This record gives sequence, structure tokens and C-alpha cells, in this order.
Amino acid sequence: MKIPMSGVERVDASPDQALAFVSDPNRVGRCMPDLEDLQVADARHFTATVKVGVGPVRGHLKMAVAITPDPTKPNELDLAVKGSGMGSGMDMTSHVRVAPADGGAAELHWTAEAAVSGPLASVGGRLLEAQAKKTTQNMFAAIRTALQTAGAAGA
Amino acid sequence: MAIEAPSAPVLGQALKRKEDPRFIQGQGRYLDDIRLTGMLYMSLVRSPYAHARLVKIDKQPALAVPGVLAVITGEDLAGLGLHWMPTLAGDKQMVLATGKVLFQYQEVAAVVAESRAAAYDGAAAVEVEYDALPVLVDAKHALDPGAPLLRDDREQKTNQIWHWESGDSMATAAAMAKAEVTVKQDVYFPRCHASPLETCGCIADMNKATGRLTLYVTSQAPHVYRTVLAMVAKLPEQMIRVVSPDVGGGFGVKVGVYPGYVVAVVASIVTGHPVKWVETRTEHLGSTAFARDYHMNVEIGATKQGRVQALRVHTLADHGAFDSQANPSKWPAGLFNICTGSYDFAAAFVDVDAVYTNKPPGGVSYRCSFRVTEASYLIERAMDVLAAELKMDPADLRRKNFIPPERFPYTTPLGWTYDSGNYPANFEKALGLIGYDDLRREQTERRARGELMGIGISSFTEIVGAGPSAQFDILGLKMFDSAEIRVHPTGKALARFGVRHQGQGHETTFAQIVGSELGLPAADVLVEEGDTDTAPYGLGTYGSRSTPVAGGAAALCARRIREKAKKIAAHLLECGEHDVEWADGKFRVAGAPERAVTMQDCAFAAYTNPPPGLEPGLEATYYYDPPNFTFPFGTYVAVVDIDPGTGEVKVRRFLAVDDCGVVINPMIVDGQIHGGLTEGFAIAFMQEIPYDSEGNCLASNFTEYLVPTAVETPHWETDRTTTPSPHHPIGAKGVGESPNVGSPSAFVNAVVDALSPLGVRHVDMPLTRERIWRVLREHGVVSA
Repeated sequence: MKIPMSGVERVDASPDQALAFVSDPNRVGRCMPDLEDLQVADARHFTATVKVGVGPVRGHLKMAVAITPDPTKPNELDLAVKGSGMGSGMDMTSHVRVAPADGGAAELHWTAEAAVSGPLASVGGRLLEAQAKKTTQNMFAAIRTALQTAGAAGA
Repeated sequence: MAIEAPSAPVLGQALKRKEDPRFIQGQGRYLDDIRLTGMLYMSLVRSPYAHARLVKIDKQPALAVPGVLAVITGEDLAGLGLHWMPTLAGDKQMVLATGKVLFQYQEVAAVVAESRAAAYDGAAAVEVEYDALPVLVDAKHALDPGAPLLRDDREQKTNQIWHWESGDSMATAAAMAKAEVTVKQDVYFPRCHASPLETCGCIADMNKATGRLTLYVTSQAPHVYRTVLAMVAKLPEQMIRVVSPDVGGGFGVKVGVYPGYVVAVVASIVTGHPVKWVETRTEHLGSTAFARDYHMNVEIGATKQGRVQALRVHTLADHGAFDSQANPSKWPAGLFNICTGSYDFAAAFVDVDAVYTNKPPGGVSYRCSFRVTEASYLIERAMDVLAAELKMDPADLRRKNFIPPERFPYTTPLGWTYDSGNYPANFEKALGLIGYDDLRREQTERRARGELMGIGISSFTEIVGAGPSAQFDILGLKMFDSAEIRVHPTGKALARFGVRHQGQGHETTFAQIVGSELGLPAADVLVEEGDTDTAPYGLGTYGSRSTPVAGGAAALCARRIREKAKKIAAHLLECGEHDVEWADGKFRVAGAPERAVTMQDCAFAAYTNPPPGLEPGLEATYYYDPPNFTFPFGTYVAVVDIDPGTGEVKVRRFLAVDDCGVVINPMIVDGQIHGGLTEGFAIAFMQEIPYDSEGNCLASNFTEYLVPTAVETPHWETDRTTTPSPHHPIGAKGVGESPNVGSPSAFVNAVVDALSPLGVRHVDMPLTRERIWRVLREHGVVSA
């Protein structure tokens, strides 16, 4: 089951701050919803264990995330997520573009496509799409909140 | 020693089933009831991906789970040469994946633990890294130039498994070109699953001291398992004992050997303990032998008056990732060329292309490997499409085209010789019983009021009793079957068979056959099946073959006993053997019938007073190679009403008039028909295993894959005609699958008939409320 998603989040931070945030495994990793464990491998890779529940299927997914800045467009990057657990698999590719917004703020324009396999897809079935969208939105919302908090702390 | 023999004939009596007291008291002994000392449990790690490279398997997290003793992977099996196994269709199948996975829920690793819970926890802890590959789920794209190649292990670099043809394509094309009327229809028989209440499982018990392996397994064909295991695991066959305990429903799902069985055997050898493995429902629906998945295109050429002339069928068969059907080597598409049905076609041609997809392998359950259900559904559906084209009553169209009774034995243009049949008599009985003409009048009135009422007919012909050795084998093993009877000194008998029942009632019906041949009450004949150490070799129970094949063996084996007993009778009656007659269940002196001895007398004498020169004892074995198949038939009529607002179909009446030849136990036959009709109802209205574009199984549990309960199931009306098989020792034909084969078309024909005023000619199963509602919306009956 492939689930396409997209969104725009306005963040109270400069485009540079926003880009630095989403490129940093230590910071963006902590925005994974229902995070239970975060292991940062290097400046571009981290592993996050998250709690997942879709309908009757409940458990943990271990997600390996790779951050790849776009070599030609300095304001854009790819996030590749490869998750496994509960006999299921989750592959997500996501693209983020940081654009300047009014008042020196920034906007995160993101698109993502998640492919879910295994019982999570077959049992989660009809609940899955809504759940995946909500989880992804929550992640970007968490990024916004974190940047806001960081901005407030910085001020 | 005179024990009174029964006077009433045992055959044809509605005796209560001998096996039922233990089942209804919870005293059955199913696989999961068996607990051996020191037994371990196994759970399988399965692929979430339908197609992916296997990058890495990390066993360590599983081995850290308390109670886990071992983790076995495909690479471990490769060391033993056991990572692939042959299938019954001549292909090979991965036992545990190496390199890549080809369907969701494919077996990837096995975890062996001290408890079932620890095994499950261990399986969940195994870390497997996959790299997803492009997925092929739609068989119609399997042969596209850009389609991913699934089986790169094969020499043939294509997703096509085989192409098969039957009939005369030139003659059929010529007849089709000349036909005044032709109709053409795409018909899809969706992928479904028999889903017996008991899932598959086994206990492998390798005794290291004796070197003997005992495999307790949910099997419809224990001897075949023994031979396959000997071949796969390279174990000497006499050192393998396969025991199939009570089986909680099979329907073909328990014919093939699954990877879990092979891994459990390895696990028992490795650990030195018995190892039990039992599937969950999701594993069962997601990985074991499915049924159908046949994309058919049918054409009929006919005269304007409705006389059929030519039949042409093209089929695309979705076999999943491995070709693991249980097919006779000569018949890759089974008996699909029975698709001319009950009708007299001058010419016919059928071809089938089988392809691989990223779906589970199988195609065995619901007699899928023999493809009779698909064939019957297709021709019965196509006849209604032709009737619609000709604006003719489908009953009249059938009447015009039945093979006439006087032409039996009848050879079809596709090569089968039907043993016997009287289609018009059976058909008119059914239409009379249901009041067909009155129903049509009522339908006219209702249609005038805008109501959606439909009447559907199926007048099918089955082909069962696989099979004659010249035509039929599994992996080269000829499809005979066997019986062994021992008559004890007190005149009681033990009868053992090579088949293995799973609810068919063999313990009763075979006792009736043996009893009636030997003049013994059925109660005095104990039937045993399922243990390869004691039962004679046989190919198992599926394809409605037990009565036609093992039932024949039972009768002929009993007659062999009777031949010997006759010599003893002559000795006891002090007359020549030629003066002894078998009449009314006793040996009598010809011309002086009051001088008689019973089988019990002869049995006692066989051990206490055998005639001089005659070998003592009273036992026999018989291997029966049937001279032909048997061809049961019947007429089913369904009457439905459709709610024009919701699309809900209510089956108002359903009548099944079967002809399965001589009936051994009418109650059991009725029971089998009720069960099969309920399955057919589920297939027609509720069941499908769909896959999404990524190959995710979307019906891997009972919330998505529906099983009818008493609430949904219609009331079944049944009746019979009797046309004996001329070649079967007691004239029986077999019945178990007739209702499953014959009923889906009756249901669909009824629903399409109800929708026909809207111009609808065909709707694919399952006819769910949603699907019918969409048809109604498309035709403006309901607004969106």
C-alpha cells in the first residue's frame, strides 16, 4: 500500500535555522512521534525506535533514517526512512524544501510517500492511510514546535 | 459359533456417523491436541514484502529471548541442501528464503523455543533487512516486456510457467466462424481459500536412538508426504512414519507439503526433541494453498435456435510465486477441459497460460488443481450469457443442448468419456420441484413493479475419482487407492485405507460398503486411516476421489475376502465350492438356501477349522486402479431477491438435485451437499483474497475473509436422482465437491438474472452488497 502525503509547515525560525534543524539527526530524530529510543550513527544517519498502533496491530518499529542533502539545491534534502518490526515493513521517501516566508520565517514544503507491507498493511488496512498521514503530520508539527521552542529559548 | 447376520442391507442406510460421538464430545484428537514429552515449539518468521532482496538476517535478538533455543535460516538449510523442495507440480519452492522473497508471508526463518509464546516472541525479535523490489500482482501484466522477472532461479527467463491446450483449434475456429450467433464473455474466478477451522501444523519427532522419524501432520495424503519427505530429506522411507490424526477440515489445503513441515523435521533433527509447529489463521490465509485466480475468456458459437456448436476458452492462470499445485504430470491445468459441461458441442478448444506473480503459491484447495469448479462455473455462466443474447429462457437453452441419455458413454470434443448420465430427467425433476414456471410468472409480475427477482440454474457435470493410472499420477505415483481388510475370528472386521478423511464420514460409509459386501453390520467394521505404518499405500482424500477409488477398493477387497470365505463355507456346508451361492448376506447351498453359513461362521472357521490345504486366516488387500473417472451431475436452482436500495441479495430458495450414482449413506451425502453449498454460497457472495499494488494480502484474517455462519446461510432443499456408474464396483460416483462446483454459477446466474432488465450480462464474484450496489448505481437504480 503506497500512501502519498504532502504539507507545508510555517516555522518561527530562519530558513538557515530550519535547514540546520532538519539536517541534524539529533534534533530531527527527536521529532519522530512516539519515540522510544534514538541512536545517532553519524551526521547523516540515525535509528529511531517508535511505538506504533494501527487498529489491532500494536508494537514497535525500528526506523533507519538517512538524511541526504540535495547536492544542487542547498535548501532541499531527502529523508529516507526504512522501518521494520511486528513482522511488517515501512519504507518512506520524503523530500523537504525550506523556503523563506514573511517576517524572516521559513516554510517547510514536504512531500512523502510511504509504502507499508506486512500485517501492518493487511490488518491495519483501512485505518492505515489516516494513521500514516496523522503520524507524518505530527512529525512535521513537532519540528515546528521544537523550532519555536528553540527560537523562544534563543530570544 | 453362530452369530446372527443382519437381514437388512447395510448399503443405502442413513446410519449415524460412527465418528461423531468423539467429535461432538470434544474427544477428537487433532494435531494440536498431541503433546509429546520434551516437545519444543516452532514459529516462522515471514516476509512482510511481496518481492524483496534478502539483505541480512540477525538471529541474535531472537536468541536473547528467554526460552529460545535455535534460529534456522535459509542459509542454514542450504548447508543441508534443503533450502528448496520439489512441488507436486514439478516446480520447486523455497523452504526458507535465500537471496530473495517472492510473496508476502513467505517463510524466511524459523525460531525453536521451549514454549509456544517464546517461539512467537523469538520470531518477532529476528531482525531481517530487505531491499524492496518491483512487485507483480496482476497476472494480466506478468508477460509484459517491462514486468519484473520473478523466478530468476529458472533457466527460462520469463514469468510464464507453461502453456497448455486441449481440443481442435482449427475445427473450433471453423465452427465458430460459421455460427449464426456468437457470444463472448470475460469471467474471473477470484482467488479464495477453503480456510478449514483447523489450520495446518505438524509435530516432527526424530528419535536419534532409532533413527526413525515420526511426523504427525494435518494431511489429506499421508503416504504422499512420506514419499516426498523421503525424497526431499533423503531419509530411508521405512524410517519415516507419517500419522495424520483427526483432521479438522481439509478441502485440499492439506494436500501439499508446506515449508514449515520440512523445517520442523530439520529442527527436530537439530535439537533432538519433538518440534511442534501450528499456523496462525493469518499464516494460513496468507501462505497456504489458495483456490482459483483464473482469468477466463469464453466464446460460444450457436444457431439462432439455440443449438450450441463451438466452445473456445482462453485462460490466464495466476499460480503465485511457485507452481505448487497438486497436478497430475499430464494435466497442468487439471481437468479444466471438462468445460463443455453437460452440453453436446461439436467442437471445442481450450488453452491455458500459467504465470508467476508475487502471491502465495498453491492452487490446491477447493479442488483447484483439478480446475473443475472453474470449468463448471464458466460453462454454466456462458450458457446464461448465450440465453440472454438469444432472448431465450436459460432452461429452454439447456434442454436443447443436453447430451441425450442414449448417447452415454459419451465422448466430449475435449476427450473425456462420460460414464453415465440422464440430464433431462434430473433437470426436469429439479425444475418441477422448485416450480420453475410459477417462479417465472411471479418474476414477470415483480419486474412490472420494479422489483429485482432472479432465478439461476446450474446444470453441471462433474469429473471425479482421479484417477485411472494411464492418465493420472502425482510425481509419478499412479493414482490408484487401496484397502486392507482383516476379519477377526469372532467375525468382526478391521478395514484400513490409503485415503484420509477430514469430515467425509469414511468411518461410517466404508464400514457400510465392507459390511454390505461381507454380510456384516456396519457397526462390526472398524475403519482406520491416516497412519502410514498400518494403512496400505494410497494417494489420499481430495477431488471427491475416496468413494470412486478407495470405495471401489473397499468393495473389491471385501469380495476377495468373500472368495476365500466361500471355500471355507463349502467346507462347513460339506459341499463343493461351486454349489455355494452368496445371497442375502449368507453363503447358501444352491437349491437348498436354508442350508447356510454366515461370514461370522466362516471367519471363526478360518482360524479354528480351516479346510485342508487352505491358508488359515481371513485377510485381504486390494489396490484399485479405476478404469475411468466418474461423472456426477446435478441441477441446482437459486431464487434471489435484491434490495434495490442497498444491493443486498437474499437467497429466497435454493434447491440441489444431485445425481452421484448409488448412494452409500443418504444422510452423509445430504450433509456433504449442505456443507458444499454453504461453501459455494460463501464463494459467490463473500470470499476473495485481494492484494494491493504492493502485494499486501488484504484478507488475511476472519474480519476481512468472511466465513458464513448459520445467520447468513440460506435454507437448503435437496433431492436426488440415481444413475449408477457402470464401471464402479458398487455404482457410486462421489459427491463431496459437487455442491461447491455446481452452486456458484447458480447463485451468480440468479443475481445476473435479477439484474438483466438493466442490461447486465455478467458480474464477477464475490457478489457483495457493495459490488451489487455499484452496479445498481451505474444503471441509475440508486443515486450516488
